[in-house]
Amino acid sequence: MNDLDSVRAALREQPAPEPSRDLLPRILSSRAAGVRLTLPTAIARSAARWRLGALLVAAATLLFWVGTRSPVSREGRGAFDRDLLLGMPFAPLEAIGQEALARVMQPRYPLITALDAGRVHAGKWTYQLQWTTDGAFTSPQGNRTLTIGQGRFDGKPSWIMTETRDLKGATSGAGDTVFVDPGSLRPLRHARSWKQGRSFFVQEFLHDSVSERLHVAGPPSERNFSGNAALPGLKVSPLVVSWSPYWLNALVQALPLERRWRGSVYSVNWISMADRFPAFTPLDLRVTGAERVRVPAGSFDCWKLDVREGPDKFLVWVSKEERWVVMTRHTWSDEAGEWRDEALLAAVAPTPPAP
Amino acid sequence: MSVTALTGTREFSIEALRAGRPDALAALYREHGAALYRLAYRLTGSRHDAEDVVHDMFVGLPEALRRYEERGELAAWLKRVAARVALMRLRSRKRRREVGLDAAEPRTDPSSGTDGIALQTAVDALPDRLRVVLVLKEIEGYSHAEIGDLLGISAVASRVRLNRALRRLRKALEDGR
Repeated sequence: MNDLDSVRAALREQPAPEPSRDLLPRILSSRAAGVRLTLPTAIARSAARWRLGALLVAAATLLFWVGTRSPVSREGRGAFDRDLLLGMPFAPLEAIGQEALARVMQPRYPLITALDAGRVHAGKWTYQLQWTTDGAFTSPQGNRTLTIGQGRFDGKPSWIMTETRDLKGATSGAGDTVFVDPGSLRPLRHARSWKQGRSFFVQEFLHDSVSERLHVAGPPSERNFSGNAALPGLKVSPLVVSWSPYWLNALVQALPLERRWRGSVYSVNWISMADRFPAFTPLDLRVTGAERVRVPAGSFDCWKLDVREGPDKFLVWVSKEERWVVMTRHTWSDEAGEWRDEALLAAVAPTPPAP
Repeated sequence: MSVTALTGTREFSIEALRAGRPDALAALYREHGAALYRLAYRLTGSRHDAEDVVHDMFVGLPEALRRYEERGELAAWLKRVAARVALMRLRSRKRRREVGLDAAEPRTDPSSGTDGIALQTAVDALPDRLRVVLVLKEIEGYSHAEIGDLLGISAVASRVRLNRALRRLRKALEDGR
């Protein structure tokens, strides 16, 4: 099957499954329940022109960057990776089966060291989620609720942070919980489930490493993965858990936000999928300004933060007084158009810190 | 205007669909649902995502049809919309890092045989931007001009992506021998 014509022929003969029997009843049930979605029926041509312009600018920038980059700076990046590995306070690596840190990216800003973890307080934040297509069609996507509460882990006090989602049309039944050390804001245990709990992963954090078990339910078949890895950024920075939006609600309460503040922390991805994604990604946070923001929960004077996680970039507005995440916005574009998804604070039930 | 005028005898009319009548939506689903599901499955590589794509599409269809100008085949218009919803899903999934889990699920049908499994594995390994063009051109039969219109790229870019996809497939199959 190695010549192109036979590859083409084989592609056309590849079998594809049929939809499940309950799909039509679910569609009709959603309609009857009042669910309405905006479909992308057209492409904004201006977006294509904008992308072409952006591409040209990026190419020019790349040429300039390559032309001005010195060999010394490239050595510096390699030295950073070596320093990072040498700085790990565990030995030997194979003793706990940790995997090599193949692709730890470099943070843009200094790792955060000034953290007032005592400012973090319990509460419950509900966000309205919405997508906007090509700047024109806004479609509500449901709600996300983040809860920070007091609990115990391994006999010691801890924060229990949970995320629940009520997304329109969603069938995955996802849930997410993490236990967090109240002194350092480092995660202790992170569990996430989806497909009505049949698929899940659990990450257990030790002082210097993290282990993970990942179970993927069928159809068509069940699969299991596991992995271990050494934690980067030890001693100098709190660690946050990626893919779990509540980390931001806790972290921003403890950060010394002010004009021109910036700092980085590491987030943890799937350890057992390290061949597909970097196990750790820097989260780079920078205060870019101050704005008054109106959301369903009210109007707030906010710090505006630019947040980058690897190639992803999004904006976060944090209320100056309460340190609540008031709004987040992620904008991106692809072949089908330009998209923006936002989370707007709709309700909040904070529990003030004990006197 | 009735769909009958465009595509032959049908159990529904555009007006009934635009009004969101469940019987019209069900009739449309029975006629096109499976084909749209297969398209979504081939684009997203996941049964779960394909079901979500078809669900979202039919839920939003009555309102979307108000922008349908009835100048071409309804089936072709439905496929274009399904492809766009699937692309949205791909982007959303990638951003949430859920692609790894779906990719971890073997998609292959044991009845496909060894060559079929190898081919499906190679297709799954393609980057989304290449796989989308491959599916639309080689399986769905779109022209490069149509793919260009659909994806917002030029026909030349579509041709280049298809060429790259096919070469990668061939190399993957050769390496697997």
